[in-house]
Order: sequence, then C-alpha cells, then structure tokens
Amino acid sequence: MSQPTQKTIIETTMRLVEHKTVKKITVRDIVEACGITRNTFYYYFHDIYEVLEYALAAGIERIGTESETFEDFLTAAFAFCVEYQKVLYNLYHSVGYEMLADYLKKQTRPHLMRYLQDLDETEEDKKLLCVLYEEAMIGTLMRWVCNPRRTTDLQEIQSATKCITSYLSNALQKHASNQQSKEREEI
Amino acid sequence: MNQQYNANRNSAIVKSAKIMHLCSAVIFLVAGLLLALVPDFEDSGTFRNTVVGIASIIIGATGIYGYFSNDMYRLAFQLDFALGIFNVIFGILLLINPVQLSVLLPTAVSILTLLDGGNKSQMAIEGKRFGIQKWYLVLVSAVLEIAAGVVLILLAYHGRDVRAWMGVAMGLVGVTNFWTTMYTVRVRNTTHHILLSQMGERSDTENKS
Repeated sequence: MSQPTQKTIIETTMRLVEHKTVKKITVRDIVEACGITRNTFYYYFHDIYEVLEYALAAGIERIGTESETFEDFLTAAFAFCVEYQKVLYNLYHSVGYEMLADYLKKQTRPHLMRYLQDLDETEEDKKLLCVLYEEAMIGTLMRWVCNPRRTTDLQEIQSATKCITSYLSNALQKHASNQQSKEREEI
Repeated sequence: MNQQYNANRNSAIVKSAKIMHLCSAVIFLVAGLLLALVPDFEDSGTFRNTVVGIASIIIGATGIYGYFSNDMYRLAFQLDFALGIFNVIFGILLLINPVQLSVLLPTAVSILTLLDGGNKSQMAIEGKRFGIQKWYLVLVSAVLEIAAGVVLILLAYHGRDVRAWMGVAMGLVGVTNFWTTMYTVRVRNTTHHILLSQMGERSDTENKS
C-alpha cells in the first residue's frame, strides 16, 4: 500500500472505529476527518467495511510474511488483535460473531496452510489440521475481543500460544505414531 | 504558505458558490410563487417568459459556477454543468424570443423540472449512503418535483391552462435546490486539513526513506 491518501483513510477509519460501532460511522465522518472529497474516498474504497477489510487483510498479510514459524505467527496475530481490540470489538458488534470469525479464518487460512506444508501428512489431513488450528486460534482471539473489560498482556499471549502449539503438536505426534502402529499391524 | 493561500481561496469559492446557489433557489421559488399565485397577471405572456428566462439564467449560471467549485462532498453540483448549460441557453432564448417561444414554455419547464427532480433524487440516495442526515427532505422534494413535472406535461398535452402549474413546478425546483445546497454543500476547514495533508506527506516521505 503506497498511497498516502489511502493510508490516511484507513488510519482515520480505524481511529473512528475505536470509539464507535461501524454502523454509527458514516463515510461523511471519515471524509471530514481526513479532509478529502467524497469522490476521493469512493475512488479507493466502496464503503467503510471495505476499508476495514483492507486494513485487517493487510495486517494479517504482514504478520504472515514476517513470521517464520507457526508460533511466531500466533504470537504476532494475538498481539495484533490486542492492539486493535477496540476496533475488533466494535466490528464484532456491527457484523456479529460469525461473520467476523469467518472473515478472520479466511484470511489466516493460507498462512496456516503454509506452515503445515512440510508435515508428512495427506492433503486431507493437512486441511483438517488447518481447520483445527484455525478454530483454536480464532476461537481464543474472539473470546478476548468479545470481552472488553479483560486486559490481555504479552505474557498471557505467550502462554496461550505455547498451550495451543504444544497441544496440537502432541496431537500430531500421537496421530503419527497411531498411523505407524496401524501400518505395522497391516504388515 | 502557498498551500494555505490556495486552500483559503478554494474555501472562499465554495462559500460563494453556496451562497449564490441558495439565493438563486430563492429567486426561482419566488418566481414560481408569483406565477402560481397571479397566473393571469399579463395575457401576452411576455412578463411570464421574462421572469422564467431570467430565473433560468440565474440558476443555470450559479449551477455551472458551483460545478467548478471544489466542495468537499461533491454531491450538490454533480450534474449542474449539463443542467446549467440547458438552463442558461433556455433562459437566453426565452428572453430573445418571448412571444415565439411561449408555445414551448410549459414543455420546457416540465422537462427542466423532471431532469432536476431526477438528478436530486439520485443525489438524495447517494447522500443517504454517504451519511447526510436530512437526505429524506431532498428526496421528498425531488419526488414532488417529478410529480409536478409529469402533471405539467400532461396538462400541456391536453391543452389545459398550465400557467399556475408552471409556477408550482418552478417553486418546487427552487425548494429542492435550497435543501440540497443547505445540507450537501460543505466548505472545508482549511487549517485542519492542511495539517492532515502535511502529516500524510511526512509519513509518505518516512516510508520512502
């Protein structure tokens, strides 16, 4: 994203959404805060939801590109959500739990699949594992997002990350050893 | 400093366009009321045609001026360049040949009313999407304008006396343009927005370095 105007629109929108639900914000509010014309806004975005989609997608893409391991990705993703907790909370109140969770899952799925590519599993198993990772990750995030009174610090993020990754890697190892025993029995 | 000067100048242009458009809407409304309340003022039609001609030129010229002003919302004056040209040319022709064009007057006024009503209806819907709170006032006015335009053209087609209805149609054009200009023309807060644009340029420079 190289356009300064586009960046200003996104930052302004995020700032407004921290204080109000999306339904209470109008394009007019954003245009006035940014000092741009209505046509300039519509040149870059169709509506406010598109601005937020773009911001979240860009954030998740950046995290995915910069994280080498799944643990790094998880920690960075949780930190991102804590930083934008108010935005996500107000977005949750505007679009509902299901829509927000589905959107976050859709954005994180390609990155999760990338981390699972090296596993010695079938494609179907990898997809199933991806779903498991998604549900664990997004489910935990949404619990934090939906509870604005809860303060989440880095230590809590790191312990949640370790819990999820160790549980899933144990489950994977167990699955792998079960597969091996099955193959031996067949032989 | 140059940026501040340009911003102030632009702000002054938009402000003047807004004031002129409000005044021309009031002139159109008064002209319409005059024609509606005293349709039999003058039988030859010269006075009536002169009033309509002058009002058309004024509202057309202010619409064209408004189109070239850089208002923030870009809602009110979107189609005013095209409609403005139509109004100005129509007004000039009416002043040059008031008697000869009398026959065309009801049809021309109804077309003007229908075009303006359609334009303002679209603008009201876009205004609702944009976040203008009083969009419904503009929509109701615009729908009434369209209805008046239809009634006028039907009456003219059936050879009825349309003098009073022409005044009603013109009055509604004035009212609609008044609401539109009041609620959808916005003058920028220049100092605030210069600071914002400077912040945008600074962050862009930081990103490049």
